Amino acid sequence: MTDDPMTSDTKPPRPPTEAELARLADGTLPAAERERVRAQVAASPQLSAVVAGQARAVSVLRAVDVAAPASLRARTEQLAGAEPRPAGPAGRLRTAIAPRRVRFIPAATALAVAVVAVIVLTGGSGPPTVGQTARLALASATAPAPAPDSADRTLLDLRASGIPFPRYVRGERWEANGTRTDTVRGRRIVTVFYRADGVGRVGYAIVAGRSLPTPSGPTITRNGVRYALGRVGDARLVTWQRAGHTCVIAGRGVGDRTLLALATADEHVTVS
Amino acid sequence: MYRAAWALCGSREDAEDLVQETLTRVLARPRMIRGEDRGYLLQAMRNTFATGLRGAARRPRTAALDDVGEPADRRAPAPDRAAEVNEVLEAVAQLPEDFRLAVVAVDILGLSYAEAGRSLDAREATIATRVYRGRQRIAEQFAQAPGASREGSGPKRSLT
Repeated sequence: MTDDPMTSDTKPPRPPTEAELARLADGTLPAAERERVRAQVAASPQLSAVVAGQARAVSVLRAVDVAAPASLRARTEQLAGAEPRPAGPAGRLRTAIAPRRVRFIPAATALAVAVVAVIVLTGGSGPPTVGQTARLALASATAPAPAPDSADRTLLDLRASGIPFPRYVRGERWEANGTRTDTVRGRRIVTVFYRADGVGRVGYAIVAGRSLPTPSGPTITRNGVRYALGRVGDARLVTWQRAGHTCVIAGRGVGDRTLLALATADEHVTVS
Repeated sequence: MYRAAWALCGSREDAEDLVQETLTRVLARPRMIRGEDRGYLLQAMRNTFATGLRGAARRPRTAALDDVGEPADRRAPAPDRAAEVNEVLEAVAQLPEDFRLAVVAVDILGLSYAEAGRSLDAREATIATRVYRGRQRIAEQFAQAPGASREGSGPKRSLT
């Protein structure tokens, strides 16, 4: 019995795989397979459309050009000690920076590099609103987190209008990971950002000067302090008065109970 | 790294936190890095994202700083371009995780398929398949559709 030469000659090549089509679109398909896949694509309007879509996506994705904001650069440079990394020889073998270089940034340094953003509001007068303050608490940090207070491990070494920012050491672990300082309608607003693994991110803002009008909405009184709950966009907030100043904690995806727990965590601390 | 973080998280603020947290973890643990350090950073970023930032980052964002302006950043792109960047990176962030990581590795960070495979603990062909499927979804989202508009009711958006 002999092989039928017609059968082996007409056996169709296997169709291109998704991986091959991806690589054809971005030009990384090895030459050995390129011609075969290209011919198959050319012969099929469906495959041609698929590869055109791949190429369109490649062009959209690779055109994305966005530089890290200056504030993030400042935060990360401080984190790395702002020292140049040792240049490695060809073949790249180098030692990562030793842990002793990772340190808390002293609050004074953090404040020195903080971007004091003067925000110009169009229209309106009077003090900032709680909603505006909450929006700052949802924005990006512009400076590194303050160091822990050496005298009190439950506090950070940063105060706004004499009010210390807490360091949440009990219960759910909320780590401070940045700060920002803004001036809105002449009022200085200092915000510390915290994040808890798997829970979310909140900003704790303290507004200098007289307390702001409390928005309408549900309130809860604990130990004589009235905490007002509210919303700003898709975020929730809690606001209260402390030593005559307004404090706001806001976060997305964080429940009222958590916000209240964060707000009341340091109520025992004396305001100087 | 920031771009990759943004594509992973879908939000600027979370991306900044993710970069900071990743670098904190990388700097805290001395180790030898051999070869492609972008791949190493991607791996570290993926782990950081998986352990802490994923839950918060994947929530939908609708609030805007409507009456409070952000301080100007000279490095920031022009508004039109920024909107475009935002749309693309948000689209990546909406991909299923395996596709998202593969697209971030290959198309955002510019790793080769082999490097991406090493960073993401997957075979090169698997990475290419995930990239293919991620790109297909991106392409569908940004398909050129005559008469389509960004505010239109259809899922397709015109970008190019």
